[in-house]
Amino acid sequence: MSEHPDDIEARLRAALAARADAVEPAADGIEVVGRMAAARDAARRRRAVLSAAAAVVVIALLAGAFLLLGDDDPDTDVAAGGSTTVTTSTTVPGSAPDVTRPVLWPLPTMSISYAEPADAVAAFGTGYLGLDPSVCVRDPDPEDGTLLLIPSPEGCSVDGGPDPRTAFTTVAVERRPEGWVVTGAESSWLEVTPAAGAVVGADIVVDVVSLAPPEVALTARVPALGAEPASAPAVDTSIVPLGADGTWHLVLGAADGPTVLIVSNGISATARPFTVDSTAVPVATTTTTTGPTDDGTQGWPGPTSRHFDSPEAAAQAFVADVLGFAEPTLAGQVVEGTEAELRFRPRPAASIETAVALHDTGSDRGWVVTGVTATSGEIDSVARTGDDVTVTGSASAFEALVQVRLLDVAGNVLGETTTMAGGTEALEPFTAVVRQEAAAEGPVYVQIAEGDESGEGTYLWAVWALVP
Amino acid sequence: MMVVVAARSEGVGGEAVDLAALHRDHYRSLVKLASLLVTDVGRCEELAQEAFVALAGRPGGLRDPAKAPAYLRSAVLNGARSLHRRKDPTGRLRAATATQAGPERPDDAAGRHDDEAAVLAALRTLPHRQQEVLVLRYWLDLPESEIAATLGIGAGTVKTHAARGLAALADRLEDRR
Repeated sequence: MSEHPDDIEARLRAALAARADAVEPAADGIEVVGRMAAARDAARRRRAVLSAAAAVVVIALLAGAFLLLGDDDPDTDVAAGGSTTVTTSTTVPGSAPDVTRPVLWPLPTMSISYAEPADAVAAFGTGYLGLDPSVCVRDPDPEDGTLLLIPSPEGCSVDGGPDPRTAFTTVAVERRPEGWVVTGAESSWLEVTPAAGAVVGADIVVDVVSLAPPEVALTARVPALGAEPASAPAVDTSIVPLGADGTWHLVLGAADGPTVLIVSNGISATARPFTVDSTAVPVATTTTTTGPTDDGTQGWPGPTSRHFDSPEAAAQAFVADVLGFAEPTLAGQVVEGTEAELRFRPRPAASIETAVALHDTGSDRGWVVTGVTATSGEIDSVARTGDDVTVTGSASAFEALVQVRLLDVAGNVLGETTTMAGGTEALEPFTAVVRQEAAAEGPVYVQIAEGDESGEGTYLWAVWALVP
Repeated sequence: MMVVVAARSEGVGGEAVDLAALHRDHYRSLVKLASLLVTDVGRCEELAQEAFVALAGRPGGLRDPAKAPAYLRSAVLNGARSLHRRKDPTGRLRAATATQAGPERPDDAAGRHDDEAAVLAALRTLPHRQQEVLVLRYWLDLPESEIAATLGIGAGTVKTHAARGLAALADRLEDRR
């Protein structure tokens, strides 16, 4: 029998106080903070320079992404629930050293040339990025091909470098025959990672880590290269904050030509050209699928794994090993020839059910799981780019918190994250990116689920799909 | 086709905070807070320092400077949580700790700190959110509303985590007797 609550509270208080009393931080904390802030800013500047020197961050979308936009082939209709494959390739900018960097500023429609880089950067900051006119140009290192745009409410006559407490923009410039031009910009507060993006349906997904707090507004536009950014009206949609770490998930529609991604927090901005290039050297492959397979060829368990003679044996093993139900309880089943569907509750007293679809392969693999569905969650698409898996769907869970995990055939967790969906009975859309942290032999599955009250990795419901 | 995206929330603006004063008043407490969730004391200092760096870099400071201590606490808790996830992305470490090492047996711990060590060891086997709620409640003595604001959860959820965490703690200590 557990002790009286007052006793455990007193013991906990005493233990916490004793532990805290035993810890005495060093006295140089504030100096360390200053050094860390300076180092962070220096690292960002280096990244910005490298990024600009890399000429172009290229995300090459093979025709598949665009076919999705205009393809009439019903076999590639994501909404139809079929299995769709889209391949994308990403080029390494350094692999094409002769490529001339696209010019962001001045626009080709402007009959202007800049004799001084600072003039080009100043005009770019306000005329293209839309930054506050209070930004001032600084050139702390005239040799590195970049200048800084620094917010300076005190006025540009006040000299000095960037204040680590404010955001600033590093702008890459080049001297061309026509004068100084701008080829890129990187905010010190926004880390945009298109390389970590993925094609999801007809969209490009890009991660933005904003070091600013969530209440700071981010805006993003994707104008065509050479066009006024204002010509691409901002649409307040398709962005999902991924949590307290400041990561935002931008869902961009696909573009049909060279474009520029501009992400801004009002006082600093990142601007990068995107170039569609179907001939690019592939270094990563993204495949999109919708829903689980239906013929058992890729179902659980994999071809080299276990064999199940009955649908119930396969389903019982699956919900216990893969879905992590604490006390899986069979609520009903339908078996028709080589197809079966078994419904499980996570515990005997639970009312919520998860349905497991199975198929008899008729071979030495026996019964395999081909899909998992639940009324509280749906997976619309799964895409992989390198180690990152992007899953979209809709769900409803307590406090809207949906858990996303990558699993191998044995149910080992290869990676996990959480995302926000609906918190009421209505399902609401979500997009999550989960990184595969460990290698797997055989197929990998993505599972979305609602954790139960234990917090120990057991679930109330789960939905599962194969990762391509 | 031109496509556009947007992120939306509230506007930029606010007051700068006095970082030196905040550091003087809260740094020590933040390191201690981290030490209740992370075993490596050196890492605890880093978590507190990173919280100040994050605060220092907020554009325009905070809209309400009075909330700076809460912001710092949240940053430390987030950092501790991230540290656990990075070290143990699959969650197995915690499970292994719970099932293999577990709370120290009182007779395994040294001297008069036996019980405190056992309580802390048991605390670290709880889900992170429960640990956070218990630490904020029983070490900082924060009211439920402030715990809820710090963790970004509802007050009802705070009560739930506190009750379940305390019950689980008692059970685990009981099991080790």
